[in-house]
Amino acid sequence: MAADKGGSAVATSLLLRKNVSNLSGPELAALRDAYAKMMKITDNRGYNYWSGIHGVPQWFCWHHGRIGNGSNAQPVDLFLPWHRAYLILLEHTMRDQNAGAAIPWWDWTSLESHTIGVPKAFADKSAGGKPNPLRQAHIKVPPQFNRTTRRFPGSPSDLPAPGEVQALLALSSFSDFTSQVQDIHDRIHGWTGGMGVVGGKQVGGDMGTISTAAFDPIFYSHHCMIDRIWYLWQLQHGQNNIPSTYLGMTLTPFPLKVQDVLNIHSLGYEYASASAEVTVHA
Amino acid sequence: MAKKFVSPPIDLGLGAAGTDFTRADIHFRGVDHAGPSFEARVFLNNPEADEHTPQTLDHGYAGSFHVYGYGVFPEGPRTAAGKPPEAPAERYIMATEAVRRAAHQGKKATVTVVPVVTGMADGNRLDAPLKLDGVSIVTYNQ
Repeated sequence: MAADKGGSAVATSLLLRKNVSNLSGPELAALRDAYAKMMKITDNRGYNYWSGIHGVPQWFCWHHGRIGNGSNAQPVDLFLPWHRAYLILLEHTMRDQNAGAAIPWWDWTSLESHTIGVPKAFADKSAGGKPNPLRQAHIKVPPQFNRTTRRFPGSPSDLPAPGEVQALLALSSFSDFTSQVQDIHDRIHGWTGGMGVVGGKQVGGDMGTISTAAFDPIFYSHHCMIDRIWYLWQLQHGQNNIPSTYLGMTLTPFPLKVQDVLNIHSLGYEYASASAEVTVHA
Repeated sequence: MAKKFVSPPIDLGLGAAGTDFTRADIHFRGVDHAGPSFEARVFLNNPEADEHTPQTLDHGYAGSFHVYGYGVFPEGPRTAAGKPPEAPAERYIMATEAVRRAAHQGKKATVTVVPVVTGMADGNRLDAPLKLDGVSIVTYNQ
C-alpha cells in the first residue's frame, strides 16, 4: 500500500471518493452497510476500535502538534498526513466489509449545507427500514463511555463559505496552509458537535472534542473534505510541498511515514473532479 | 461568561517601513488545548470586548482562531507524558488590516482574547477554557 521509494508507484485502479450528496442509491447503501457491519465487530476490525485510535482510549491523533517545551518547542504539524493515513486504512477496513464502499466528503461550504446543515445522508434517523448507521454510533470505552453519540449542530449560516476554502488554496506556504486549514477544521468540529441539554444537564456533542469525535460517523466525511482540500492545494503548490524534516516521521500507530502519504494515487484513491450539486424538485 | 485574556500594551513590531507593512500576524504561544473547544475572538485596543462585541474593525476585531480541545476530563486519562499532540499549541492569525489600524494609533496595542465555548466533554469546566503563555505581533515588509 505504501508508495515505492521514489513515491511514483500508482495503483492500477483508483478508488473514487465522491461528495456525499452525489452518491447514488447503491453507493450510499454500500457505505451504510460497511459502517453497520463494522459497528457489530468487537475486535480490531470493528468501528469502536478504529474510532478509538483518534481520541479515547488510544489518543494517537495529531492537531497543532509540537515537540519540546518552552524555548525549545518546535512546531511539528503532522495533522494532514496523519489523518490521511487514518482515513485510507479505515477505508480499507471498511471495504473488507463491503467492497462497494468509499468514504465520501461532506462539503460544508455547499448550498445544501448552508441550507440544511448536516447532510441528509448523516441526519436521517433511518434508512431502508433500519436505524441509519451514519447518524450515530455506540461508544464503548470503559469506564467513561457506554452510550450512543450525539450532535447539536449550529446554524447552517455559520458554516464556512466557499470563498474561505479558496483563500486557503491561495496560501503558498505549507505552514500557513496547514495552520489555516486546521482552523477551519477545528471550527467544523465545534459546529457539528455543539452544545445541548440532556436530562437537564448541559453536554457537548461528540464531534466537539478530540476525545470522542471519531465515534461520530460524520467525522470521516469531514476529514475526507479536509483531505480533499489538501489534495487540491497539492495540485496547485506541489505534492511534496512539506518540510523535508517531516518526510521520515512515522504516523504512529500506522505503518506509514509522511513520505508514503503525499501521493493519493499511490495510496489507491482519487477525488471526483467536481462537487456539483443537482437539486431535484419533486 | 468564560474568562478572557487581556495583554499589557505590546510592541507592534513596526520596522523601518512603519505602517507600510505587507502582512501582520498575531501569534499566541502555548495555547492549551487539553480541555473544552472554543472560538478565540481577538481584539486590538479593546480590553472591554466580550462575546457580544461586534466583530468589526471599528471595534478592534482582528480575527479569531478555533481550539479543538482534547476534552480531557479532570480526573480522566491523559495522553502519555511527552507525546507531542498534548503539548500546548502555537497559533496565529493573519490580521494585517487590524494591526495597521492599531499602528496608526500608536506603537503598542493591547490584545484581548475572548473565548466562546463551542464544544465540551463530560466533566469539562467552562469558566476558564483559555490558557496561553504569551502573545506577540509580527509584521512583514515583503
